[in-house]
Amino acid sequence: MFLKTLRSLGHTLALRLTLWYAGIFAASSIVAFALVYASVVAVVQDRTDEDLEGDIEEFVSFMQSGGLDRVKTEMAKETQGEEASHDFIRLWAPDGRLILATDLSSWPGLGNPLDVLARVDSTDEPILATLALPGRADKVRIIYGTIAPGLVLEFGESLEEDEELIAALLRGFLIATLLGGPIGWFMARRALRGVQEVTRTATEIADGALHRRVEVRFQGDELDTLARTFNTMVDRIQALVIGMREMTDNLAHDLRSPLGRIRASAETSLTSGGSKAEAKAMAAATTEECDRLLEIINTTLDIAEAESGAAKLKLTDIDLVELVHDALELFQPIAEDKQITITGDLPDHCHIHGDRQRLQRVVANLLDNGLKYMPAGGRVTIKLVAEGERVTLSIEDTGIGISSNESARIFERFYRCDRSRSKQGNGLGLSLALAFVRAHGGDITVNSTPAQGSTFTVVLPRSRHGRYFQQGP
Amino acid sequence: MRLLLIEDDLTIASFVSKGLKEAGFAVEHASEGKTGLHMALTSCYDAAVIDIMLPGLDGLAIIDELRQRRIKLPVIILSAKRSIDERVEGLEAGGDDYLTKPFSFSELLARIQALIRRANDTPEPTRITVGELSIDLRTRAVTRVDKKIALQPREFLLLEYLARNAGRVVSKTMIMEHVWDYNFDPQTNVVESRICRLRDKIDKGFDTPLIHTVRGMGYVLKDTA
Repeated sequence: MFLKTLRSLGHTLALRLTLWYAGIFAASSIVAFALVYASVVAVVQDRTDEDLEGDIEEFVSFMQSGGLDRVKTEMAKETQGEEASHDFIRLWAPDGRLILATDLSSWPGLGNPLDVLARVDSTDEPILATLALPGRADKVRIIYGTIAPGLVLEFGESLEEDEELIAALLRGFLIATLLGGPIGWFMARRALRGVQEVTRTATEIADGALHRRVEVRFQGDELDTLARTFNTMVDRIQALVIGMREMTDNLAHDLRSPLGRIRASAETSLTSGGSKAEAKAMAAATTEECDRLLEIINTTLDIAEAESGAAKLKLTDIDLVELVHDALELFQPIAEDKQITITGDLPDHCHIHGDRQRLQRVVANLLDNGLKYMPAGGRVTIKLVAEGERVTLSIEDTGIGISSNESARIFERFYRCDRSRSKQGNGLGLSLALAFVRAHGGDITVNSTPAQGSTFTVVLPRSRHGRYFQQGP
Repeated sequence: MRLLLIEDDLTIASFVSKGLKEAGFAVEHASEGKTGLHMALTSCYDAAVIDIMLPGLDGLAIIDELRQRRIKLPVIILSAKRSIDERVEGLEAGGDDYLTKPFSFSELLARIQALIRRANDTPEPTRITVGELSIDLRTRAVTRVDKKIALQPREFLLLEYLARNAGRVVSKTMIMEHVWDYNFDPQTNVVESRICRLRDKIDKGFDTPLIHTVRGMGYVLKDTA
């Protein structure tokens, strides 16, 4: 159990980060410490050595000014009281004869430095040495210097303070190194808390709580970016899921209605046992309803294909003006029947790279939409303007218009305005037009004033290279 | 004219056979791929209607086999899949045709006839006569009895399409496809209004109407007198 926990702990990013952090921290502090240590030791030793050299010079002057008596007095002064355990001074003759010495009770085990004395006497330069005495915990730094011919002064100074300083440095380093691990752990945990939060939310979402979002802490760091990106993604997924749910509901409703009618008429003709003419009427109604069903299914698939990018556009060079002319010609009789004026404001030609059949449907659906809700005496104007790499096709009607909250939804699948429910149609025409135009890299917008009319504007790139619509939010 | 029908759905098969027999074809039916291929290899047919999804051997495999043996049997493929297989597109380019299920029988019939016409290189008629109505396809002159009828270009195309299929019902989708080159039927009934106008010119003032509406199916040009 414990092993398992340990192993799973070993897999956490926090622990791995901590170990890495601690390792790197330790390595770099060892290097830094080594450098600091070396220079501190050097500085401290230099300082001690300079002191000792200064002492020798002082005693040289004491000797010159006051002879041995002065030297003796100064030696006593130097090692007064407490100082006796910190410093000691001995005065030697080069042959190893001790002439004077301070209180050596704190300095057991001091030997006779005969060889050094000989060397000092011969070189005339002070000699420095470090000595560890068996009775003392600290080391001692000793200088041997000639203060007058035939007199060698030995001045010893405890290195206790220096050693304490260096020991403190070492302790500090050890503490820092030992603290490094926990600090690293703390920092890694802190940094990864956001990630864990995202993970937790993602798990909740995976369990079905699509409304959950990661809390953004507004610290402008990477975790905020992650949280925001994550939330945007979930927003999009939620919108898609809701859209799909609505679409399925609508689809089920729209499929159910014709099925209900088919079933009802079939049942009637079965139970009533009516005439042949009645049976024929029933069959005709069934065929019509089946065609309607088929149309809904096919259009829904067309939209889905175009939206998912699965539909392969058959791109050819087409004259949009010719296509619009054909559509106008197609709808002219209907318009005349409904006493609607339908006019085109078109250039001579406008060639674009597009899918002929799909664009035919776009134009037909928009005209269809314009005519459907138009009272008698109305006017539909279709206008085509080509500017550079983009083509703008606008279909303006003087119909009933769309309220602003409805205009946001008219491109939704199966959405039908309240006023359109009574009209023939499956609520897919505009969605299909939008899906096809977007597949071409264009877009459709609507501008409408209720009771005055609407303008649908289609913007299309002339070729696939120019896109005026970016898929996604 | 002998036709081979390879289709495993027996309801569809009997519906198609019945219709084709009524239209004057001799129809032989196979409900399984291998049997179908065997029949196609051993007998001589003018055309074949083959479903793609078949037990034993699928429709496209049958066609591949036929083409490898250099049998130039014109084929109409029936497919329940809406997205057109690339191989089917290839066949279409090779002169064969396809139809998506569910289909209207009149459309299947029109396609079979067009296929046979193409395969047999039937010369284009220059004049079509339906009862009292006479259509000159070269001069585009239309007369009923002795009355000259002036038609707009698109109206002429519509009448011509109805006349080429005289006696057979053509659906709105077929009309949209052949007369307007649209592969869909707009929701607003544009075809109905066109037919209405054509009727005004062709049938108005005559006792027997030539253009008939068959509810649920489409329109037919025929002489009932």
